[in-house]
Amino acid sequence: MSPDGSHRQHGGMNTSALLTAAPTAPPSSGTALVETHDLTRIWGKGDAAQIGVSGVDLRIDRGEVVAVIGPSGSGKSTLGALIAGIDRPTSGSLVVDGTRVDRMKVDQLADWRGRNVGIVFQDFHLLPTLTAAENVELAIELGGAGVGRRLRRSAARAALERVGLGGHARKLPAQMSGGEQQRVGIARAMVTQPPLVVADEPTGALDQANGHAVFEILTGLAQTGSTVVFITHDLTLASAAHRTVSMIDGSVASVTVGGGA
Amino acid sequence: MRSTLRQFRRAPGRIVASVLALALAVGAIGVLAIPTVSESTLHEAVDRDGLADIIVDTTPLSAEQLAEINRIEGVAVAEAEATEAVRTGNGVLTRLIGLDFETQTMDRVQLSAGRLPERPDEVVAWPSAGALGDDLLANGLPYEIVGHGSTLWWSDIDVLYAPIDALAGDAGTNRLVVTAFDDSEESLRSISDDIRATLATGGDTYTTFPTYLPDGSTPIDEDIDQISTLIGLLGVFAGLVALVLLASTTNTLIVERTREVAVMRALGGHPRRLRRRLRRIAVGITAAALVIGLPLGVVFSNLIARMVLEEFVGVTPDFAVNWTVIALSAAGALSGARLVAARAARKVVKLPLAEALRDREGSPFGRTWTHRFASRVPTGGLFGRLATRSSVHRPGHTVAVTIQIAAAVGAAFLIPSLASSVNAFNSAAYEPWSWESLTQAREPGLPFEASIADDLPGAEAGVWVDGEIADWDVDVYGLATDTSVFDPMLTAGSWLEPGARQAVLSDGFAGRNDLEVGDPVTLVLAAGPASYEIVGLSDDSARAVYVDREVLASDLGTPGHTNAVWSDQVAPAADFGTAVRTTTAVDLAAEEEAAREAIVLIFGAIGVIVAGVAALAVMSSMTVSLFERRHELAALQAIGARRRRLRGLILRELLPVAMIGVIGGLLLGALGTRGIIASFEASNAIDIGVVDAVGSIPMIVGGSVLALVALALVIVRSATRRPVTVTLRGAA
Repeated sequence: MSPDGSHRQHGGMNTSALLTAAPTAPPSSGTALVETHDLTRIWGKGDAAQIGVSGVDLRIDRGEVVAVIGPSGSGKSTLGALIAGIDRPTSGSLVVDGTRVDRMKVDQLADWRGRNVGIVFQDFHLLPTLTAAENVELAIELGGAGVGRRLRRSAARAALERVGLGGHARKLPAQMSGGEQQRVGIARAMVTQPPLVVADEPTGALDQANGHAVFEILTGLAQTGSTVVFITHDLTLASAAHRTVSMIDGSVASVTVGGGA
Repeated sequence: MRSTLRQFRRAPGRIVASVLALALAVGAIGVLAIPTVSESTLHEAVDRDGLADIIVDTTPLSAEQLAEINRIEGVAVAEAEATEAVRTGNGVLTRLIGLDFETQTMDRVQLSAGRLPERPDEVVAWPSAGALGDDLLANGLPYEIVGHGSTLWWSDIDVLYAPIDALAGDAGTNRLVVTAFDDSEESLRSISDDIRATLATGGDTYTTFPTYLPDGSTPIDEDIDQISTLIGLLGVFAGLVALVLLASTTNTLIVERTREVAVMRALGGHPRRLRRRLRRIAVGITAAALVIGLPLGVVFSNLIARMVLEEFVGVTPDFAVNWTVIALSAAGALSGARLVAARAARKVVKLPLAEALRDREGSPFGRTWTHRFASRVPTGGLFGRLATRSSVHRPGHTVAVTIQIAAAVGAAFLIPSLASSVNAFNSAAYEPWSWESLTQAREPGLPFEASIADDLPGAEAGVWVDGEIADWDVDVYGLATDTSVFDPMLTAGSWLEPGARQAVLSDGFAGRNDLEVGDPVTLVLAAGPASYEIVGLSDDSARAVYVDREVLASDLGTPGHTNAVWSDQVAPAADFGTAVRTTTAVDLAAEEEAAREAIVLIFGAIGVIVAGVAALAVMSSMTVSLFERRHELAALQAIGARRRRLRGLILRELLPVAMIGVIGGLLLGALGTRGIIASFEASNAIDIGVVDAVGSIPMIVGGSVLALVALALVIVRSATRRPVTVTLRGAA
């Protein structure tokens, strides 16, 4: 990781630049970053059992932007949570970058998430008592062992600059709008340059303009080598991904190769 | 009820924890029932045993004198008894009480096993003295144990009961017990004066102050009152902590429904109905807690009352229930819960709807100047800042936890401080004295010649009797003015001069009665009042008067006589010419140790309850904190925080709060100890002094730190039990 973000794009957020910079073709590497086999998540037992996802086989390549769509209750958020390592499968396997994530213990999983996954939540989940910059710094502290305070601070500033919030570094979440908070969430997810970014309906709580801006930043991450999985209801946004995974009743109904993010 | 059950199904763990917390709170209030439970037991014992109204030691009485006393106006029944100090074969110092088992109406022995003695060589003993049928030596004479039992009067020590012929034949009866038709104090004192006059005509006297038990009181009422005062104070403390627990738990139950209520408001729910619903939930849960808490309180009060009465009085109380305390506890808990719930519900329902619907982490951070100021202070690393700001974010919670920790620590410090103060006071009572044995005449008069100890090396004769100054019972010592057994440790004035009507008083007692050096003082003795000039004050932690022994013996009507011999030998070799009892320093040490153990046991039991309730209150508050912040902790986990980091965060938050709480608690405990001791000093007119249990501080601090670490472990374990996504989704 390069916490100072030196090889990333710098400067204030330029959505049009990011949009044009977004990948227009499937990733060239073709190597799998995420592989699931018969991935199943069930809550409860017997008659009360509730199926989240069932028997999902999926492969996501490095640098790929994948949209997961489906109606409410189809299991798309569950699939996203499993891939991000914030939920554990009932059965099946989940391999990310050659590592069996499903077999990890709680603390191993936390370490792994800190180093390998950036997560963007629909509800932001920023820590309310930390400023924007501190929220971003926290991801570096947890994911990047041994990074000095000064370096961490400048990396956080740079990430905020990238999402257009350079002037909001010292603001608390309660002092920002929803769109701004979501952009802080994205800065937090990308600041460690994780190989995998999972965004669960990142635009769901935002208006159209803010939604588009956030989406553009996310897809722009693929350019820096990250693999982006985003869950959405918005078919227009989904069509901008390299591939679209459509889910129904906890299973993958179809995988469509899109026109590029 | 249905809504309460629904709440239970929704969050059984939290509801069970709340119910248990409230139950313990109600149970702790049960401590207040201890005095009543004790008193009811004692009064039952008075009726059962037939306790006399006047009890007095006398010179040996004849049957004629007894008959004459029975004819005195106002006397219902007067009976004679005999007592003798004896030492058993295994060296236990005890008393042999001679009773007329066939005719007596007072001091009836209550048997727990066996039968009453029928022959002079049979006794009723305490159970550990031996099994029924065993032989027992008393002053070298063999007795057979035919029963186990006791009477209320002698319940605080182990004694043997034998037929009165076994003793009266030796030196005559020497104890008079009287019941009166009118048992008011005035009537009893008047009858007592008549008895004294009657005895005087035959050349006999009272040898001690009579004990008056007016209006059905018991000889240990004063002790029970003191213990009750202490327990009452601790009970109030426990009750206050319990109220904090009750309030915080009830408040939590309401506040955690903020969002649910907001949704109902958004759907058109009327605020008044919503408030009523919230109040009903709180009252329902409190009612459920009462079902457990009230029996718990009854058990607490009975257990502690049993400990107190068995250890201090030697009476095993029956199981008793104080319905008043139960009713008040129930009413207090329900109305308290309702009050707190009403306040919390008003707050929840008044919150701006949009904010209540949006807000998932309590009130937003950053809206007040304190929040903004805290966010500008770069304290420590990111986790340090998180910890500090979380405390600032929830000031009410932070203050509550600090108070609860202070209460727990305060109780934990107050209890051993009280115990060590009382123990130090007990030890200090012997500090001015230096002797290995004290030999006293069996009968309370002054049967020894003053010269009895002249030829005994290391021995000194003196007088030790009861007296009264300004209605306070005092120990009166008649000592040689050149005494070597007593060091007066004078704080003012000088020691006694030979033959002068001078007195040295206990400093604390004198001060509390506005008596100073140079003042005259009237000392009421068994033989009547006597006046002295105060020449000195002694730092003796007692309520005592020291007078020249010759002067005192004259005032007692037996000049040139004494009733006690102090010696630096374990047993002075002398022919006392009468039955004596010898108390050794070892006996005193054993008594002192037993008293210390009893104090530690009783104070410890109360302390555990108080500290337990306070600790539970802390846990309850921390559970609230966890509930409010579970999404924050889950978010931290989502971005890579291991459980160790979360534990560190919780500890960082708790430690400063705990530090303030511990310091505050120690101060609170020290102040509380001083308050309680001061009240005892005032009610007993003596200097007790405070000895802070400084040695317990490292244990209290260590225990607090360990408890907090354990709490952090439990909190983080509980917070990370569910998958991160489940917790986070619950936030949405």
